[in-house]
Amino acid sequence: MKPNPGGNLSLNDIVGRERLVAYLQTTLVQQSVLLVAERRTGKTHVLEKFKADAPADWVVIKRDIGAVRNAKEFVEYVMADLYPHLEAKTNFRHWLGSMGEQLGGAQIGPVKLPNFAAKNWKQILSDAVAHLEENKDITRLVFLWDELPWMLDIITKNNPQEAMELLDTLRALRQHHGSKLRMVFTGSLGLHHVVRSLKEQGYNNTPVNDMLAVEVEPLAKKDATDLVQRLLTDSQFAVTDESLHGHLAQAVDYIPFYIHHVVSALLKNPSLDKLALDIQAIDDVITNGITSSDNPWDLQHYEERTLAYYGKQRAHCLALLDVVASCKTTISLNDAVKRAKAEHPTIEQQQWLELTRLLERDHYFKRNKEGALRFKFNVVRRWWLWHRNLSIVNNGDAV
Amino acid sequence: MNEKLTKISGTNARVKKSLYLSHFTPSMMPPETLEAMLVQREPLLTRCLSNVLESLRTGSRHHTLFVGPRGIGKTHLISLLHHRLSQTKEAQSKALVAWMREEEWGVTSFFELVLRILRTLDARYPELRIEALTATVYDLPLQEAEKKAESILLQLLADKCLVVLLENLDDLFEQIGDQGQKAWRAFIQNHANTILVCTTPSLFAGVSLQKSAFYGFFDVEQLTELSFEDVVNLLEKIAIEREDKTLAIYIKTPEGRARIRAVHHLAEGNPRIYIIFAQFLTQESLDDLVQAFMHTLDELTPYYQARIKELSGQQRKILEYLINHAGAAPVKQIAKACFITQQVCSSQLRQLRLKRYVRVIEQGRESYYELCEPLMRLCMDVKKQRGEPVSLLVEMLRIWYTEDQLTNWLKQPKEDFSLSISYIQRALELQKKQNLEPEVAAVLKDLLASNGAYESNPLMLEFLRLKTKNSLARELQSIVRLHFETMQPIDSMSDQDVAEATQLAIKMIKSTLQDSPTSIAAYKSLSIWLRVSLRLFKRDEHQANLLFTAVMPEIYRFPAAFSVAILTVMMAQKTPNPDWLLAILSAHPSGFASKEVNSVVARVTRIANAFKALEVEKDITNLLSLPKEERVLMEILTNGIFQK
Repeated sequence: MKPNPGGNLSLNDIVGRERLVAYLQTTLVQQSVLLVAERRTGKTHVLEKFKADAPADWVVIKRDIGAVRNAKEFVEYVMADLYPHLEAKTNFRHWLGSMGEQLGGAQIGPVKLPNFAAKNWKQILSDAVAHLEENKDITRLVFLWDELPWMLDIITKNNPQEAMELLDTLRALRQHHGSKLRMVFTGSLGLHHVVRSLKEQGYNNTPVNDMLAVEVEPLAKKDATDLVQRLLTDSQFAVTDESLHGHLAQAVDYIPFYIHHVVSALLKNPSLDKLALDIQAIDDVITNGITSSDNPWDLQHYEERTLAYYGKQRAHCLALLDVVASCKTTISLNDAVKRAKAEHPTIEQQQWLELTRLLERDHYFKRNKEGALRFKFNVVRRWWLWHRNLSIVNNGDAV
Repeated sequence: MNEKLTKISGTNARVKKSLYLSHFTPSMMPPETLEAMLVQREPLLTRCLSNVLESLRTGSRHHTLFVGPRGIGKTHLISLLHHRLSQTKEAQSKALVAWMREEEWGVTSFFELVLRILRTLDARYPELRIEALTATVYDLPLQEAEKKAESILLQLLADKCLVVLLENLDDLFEQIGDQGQKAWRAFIQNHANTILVCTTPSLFAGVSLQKSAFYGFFDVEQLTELSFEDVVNLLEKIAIEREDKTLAIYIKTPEGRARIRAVHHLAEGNPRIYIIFAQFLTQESLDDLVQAFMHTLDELTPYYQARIKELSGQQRKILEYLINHAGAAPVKQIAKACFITQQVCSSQLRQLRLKRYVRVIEQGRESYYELCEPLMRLCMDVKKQRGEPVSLLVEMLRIWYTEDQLTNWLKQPKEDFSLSISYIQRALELQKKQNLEPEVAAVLKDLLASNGAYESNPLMLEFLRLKTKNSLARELQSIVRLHFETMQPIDSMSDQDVAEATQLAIKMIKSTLQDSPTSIAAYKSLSIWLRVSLRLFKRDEHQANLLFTAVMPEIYRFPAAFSVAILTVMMAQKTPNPDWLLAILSAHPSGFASKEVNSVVARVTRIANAFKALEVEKDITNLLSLPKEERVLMEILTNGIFQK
């Protein structure tokens, strides 16, 4: 296996996702799923593996819809994706023929669609899905829609009403075809940000409250360590200190993207002795990833996006982030708020609690069972400390 | 060298084989020539090819992005990758390769990109009859045409992969915009049959920001400048490729290497400049060379002008300063010259760094900034010269030819010689004006850039072996020889030579102190001389005392440097013994018993004892009892000396 930071991995090379895929399968028997994670955590690879491992009587359709510009185009893709699974059904062909003229319809891959221009996209979508009910061979139809929030974002910019209707239509379809139809939404942009933007324009519904949010977490410690070992071995690195594998995995929070990155960077270093790889060389690469002016991991993003995410509360958010980043280990919620409040004394306790919740949702914080806070990702915390020139404090004192 | 010049400029100066070296489009050069001229980048190219082949054999897909400034050799790499890839069975049976040539874009959407890919494939694989397939696309409404074009591409690919080799991805991304990027990404993700190998002069938002569609998508390969040895290698390869044995041999001689080093300082590791420079070596008509050079700069100038226009007024001012300054400059100096505060200057420099106009060099606590792309300076230089000879070309002529050779050249009657005459005359003027020979100056510049690591630097030997008529250079050589005499004598110096060299060194110390702009520069120099003087005690106590006396009153202004210098000498003996130092100090006629010296001696004694305990008795108690800064000092010293 070669390091492949950012590229598409073959199924055999997607490691440590078996439990999550199994969990998704179990969950999808019951309900649809909102798959959430930071960028480059491996959401798309999870979808690939899920699709490959799905039961034979499930129809799983995966599509990146991030560049779709309107609801009609979206429905065209859905139709094109459904077509191979329904074309044998006589009534489907008749129905499709009744939809419009063959001339002038879009060709998506090998599928030539009729011209839907005169029809309502909602009706077409509903009818197409309804035909599935009649197919007894299909136990379940699962749509894996990658980058759905980007699509909604594009539609919202041109026609917010259509974006609202699309979200509502998809929810209605899930309700009406609850026995067979499942959807998995995922994407680089948090769906809640799109919904918030729609709410600002008068949208009052909760379009995904029937879906279970499932987070793609980093790999388990063992899986990440095994991945490091496999990558280093296959790249002909000789490692005498076995603890090095775990050290690398832990230093990049067990995230496969960063693991691939570090091994790739080691391979590119012409002055590195491959027969004597040591922890220092690994730490150098990681430190460079965090502090280099080239900013290869764009950790600046974690600060910049607070402006869009938290608006007027940004200053409070930064204060809270500074407090938690500065703590040597974890800090209780009360202590964190108390320290942040020293900078912003007029902010109510309830607002701090809400802000903490949002920061947890947006992958900054993680809370343990006792409710104590820490940064979710060590890499982000290291960058935060470095970038904002913070000192680590212990029991209120600089150390 | 005279023989060489005769060969070049006279009737016998025929090279056995002509060689077409393109400045801008290496893709037009024969692959064999490109292979022959590949230096430094072989591991990178092998890695990239191996990744593409793995992508063709397995389900994984590697996407590579070569990053490096203009002229660094990106097109050369892509051309070679294309050549090597085309030879493989995998590419022949499992891929369609679309090699999108540099700067051919008129593409403003993903749809147009697909059409361009189809057109490129059509030229490469006429048997696929792509033109006929795409004819209907142009009759469709836009949204349908988009999908139809994608469908045709998918149909052509069937179970093959599309390998796209593409130059200037940054420009393309800017033109196709956010929507186009998302559409392209969706195509790649939905069909998993595309492999990208792209280039860009610098990383840009479209691939490096988390909010971008292609964030973290590419395996980034930074192309570094050619080192001096790479350049020697490159020029030698060009000479061999031209079957010019005399030149190939000359390049390896100390004189040839010294001259190349001098040119290296002008070209700053940019391969495109060396490709142009390579024509100096065999060019029969200097006029052709000058014109070729000017043409290259002319082609590039609008690009750099456009880039400069994108900047704010303050940023332009800073950039202009750096263009004129011809080197790296600290923030303070730039701010002063541009009449802005240091804070504003730092902030603007940060922006310029992010946009890849400048790069930063950390020197101690100070940050120096310089232009990322040396070609930018050259192009702006042409604009500034207004008909006057371009300084880079003049410098190169001056370095490569001797005064006699240039004078002889001028005497040769030739027609239409006006352009080159002005260059030769200017080069001659400069040669007469300059005291120090350029090759000697180049070695010295590299020595200075080695940040104080003079003593074990092979360049010192190179410098000693240079033949120079310049009296200053000869004095410097004498001092360097003294340096070696105290470590590993090369050719043993006589007592008189040592005495003369010591006098010169003392003279030099005084002038260094007068000329050093910063304390850092002064203490670096002083600590070296202190080390030399301490080592000289073994060889010639009298001369050592003279040198020591010259250094001591100055060096204890810098107690840390003083300590490090003494400890370095002691550690090198592997038996650190502070008594030896105390003996020197107490025996010294000037009686260095000042408070500062005592404090340094106390510190050195503490560290030496701790070190002895650690080495001999394996006891770290003493070490831990040292103040933190002394522990750090000891750590540096032990790493620096004993690990060697």
